[in-house]
Amino acid sequence: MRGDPWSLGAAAVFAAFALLTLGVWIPADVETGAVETFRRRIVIGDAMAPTAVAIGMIVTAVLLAVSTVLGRQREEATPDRHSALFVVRLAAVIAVGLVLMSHTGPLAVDAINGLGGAIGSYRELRDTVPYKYLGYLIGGAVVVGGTIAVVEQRLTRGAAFAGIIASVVLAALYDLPFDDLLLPPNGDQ
Amino acid sequence: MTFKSFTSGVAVAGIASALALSAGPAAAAWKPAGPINLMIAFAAGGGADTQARLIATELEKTRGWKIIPQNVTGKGGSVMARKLKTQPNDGLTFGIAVTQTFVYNPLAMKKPGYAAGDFTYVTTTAGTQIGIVAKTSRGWKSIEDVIAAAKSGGTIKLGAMGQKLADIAYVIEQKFGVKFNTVMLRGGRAVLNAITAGDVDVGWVAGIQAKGVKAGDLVNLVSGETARLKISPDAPTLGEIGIPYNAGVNFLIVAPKGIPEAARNGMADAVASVLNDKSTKAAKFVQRAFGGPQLISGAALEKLVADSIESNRKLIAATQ
Repeated sequence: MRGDPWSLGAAAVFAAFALLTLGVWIPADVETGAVETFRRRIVIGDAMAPTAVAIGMIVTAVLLAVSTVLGRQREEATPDRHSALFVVRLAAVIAVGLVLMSHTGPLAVDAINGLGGAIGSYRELRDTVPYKYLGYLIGGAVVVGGTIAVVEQRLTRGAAFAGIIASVVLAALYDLPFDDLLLPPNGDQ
Repeated sequence: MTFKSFTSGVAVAGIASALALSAGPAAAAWKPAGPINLMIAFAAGGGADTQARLIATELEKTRGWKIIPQNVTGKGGSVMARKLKTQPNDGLTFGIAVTQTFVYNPLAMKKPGYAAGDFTYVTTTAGTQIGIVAKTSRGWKSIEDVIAAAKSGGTIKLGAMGQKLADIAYVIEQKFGVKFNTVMLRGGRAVLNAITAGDVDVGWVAGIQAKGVKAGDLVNLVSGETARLKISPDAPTLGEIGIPYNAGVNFLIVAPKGIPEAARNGMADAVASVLNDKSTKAAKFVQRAFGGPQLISGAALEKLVADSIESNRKLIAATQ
């Protein structure tokens, strides 16, 4: 069979995801169908938009598969093992950063309480310095610095420094001027 | 310095400064232990949003509380209700919506995701002045005139901004043997605009019609409240024309079920103090938009919720 296996694989993955969305996710998670009769009126249901998107994904996946099989072999670069590894590393760095962002503050507060600090819960302190900054700064620094490290394929002091500076600047940009904003993850606590 | 030693240093400094800042003031009366999340069930700029933000600003100024408003909109307040239900019941999360969110929507929706019993009802802030409104130039002076117009063969388009109002319009249709073309619109402002533009013939408006009624451009044909409207004392209530339902709603502050009684009472008292002080921006807004505060809390509020649920059950059964 002709066709780039990575493109065919991508088409298969997206088609499978779309079918899963149509067959399992939408029926399980969306409260109304695509079109509903609600109290004497016909209305557009909550499932209309995700159903349309899932159908669009299937159509796109089929087009990708067909064009891959029937199309001429092109010289352009295609995904390979190295690009897959890159995506995995990048996803891992971002995942670790987000976990640190959401858990560093609460863990620090738990640690202080455990040491006899009796400072209350993280929820009570989520708008108090320095607790409110801990997760955002450490998690943000890991995301930015880690991304640079993945791209450069080595961890340097410059990358770490850039991560710290970027997260400090973003925290200052969003937190200092706005009284009614909470930095992540504090709004979800 | 290595990267590892640098990060260790930051961590030690962070914990040290945290310990240094651990002392907190003791509170005499109820005071939230931290910042309050105030979820607003409707869009920015509307009646609920405006009064919520004005009340929050006043409480921050006078009581030193930290209140973080957040709009969580959709489905007549039900999206907020679903989220509020899952929040910790520690007195640090409240929501503002309307009574209908809790006493009608869960009964009418197929999968509401919450029930009225999932919440602690703290206090109402204001009530609506809802009526069925028409342009004065139409020549209608009462709902009977509209019904006569419908019976003489005209199609009457009625604007409504919620399903319950459409249900009550349906009850009116059934009682008087007419058929309205009910048009669902997003919010009372949209209904008022549609009436003014002639896109609908009549429509439900919850208070913002007062200015037009006062100017003589609009007329309240019937009061949707249990009492006659302040601006139109001649317009009969729904009850007086034989429709035993209340279309009016109250703006309502709620919390997840089981918050401490001190937090419930503390928040109710704080809101009352803001809205009863006529010099506050919040009180002025509520006066201008809704005719003044309507503060119901405690057992009276629980009774209001229970009675409204019972009434809505009957309405839903009558309009299936």
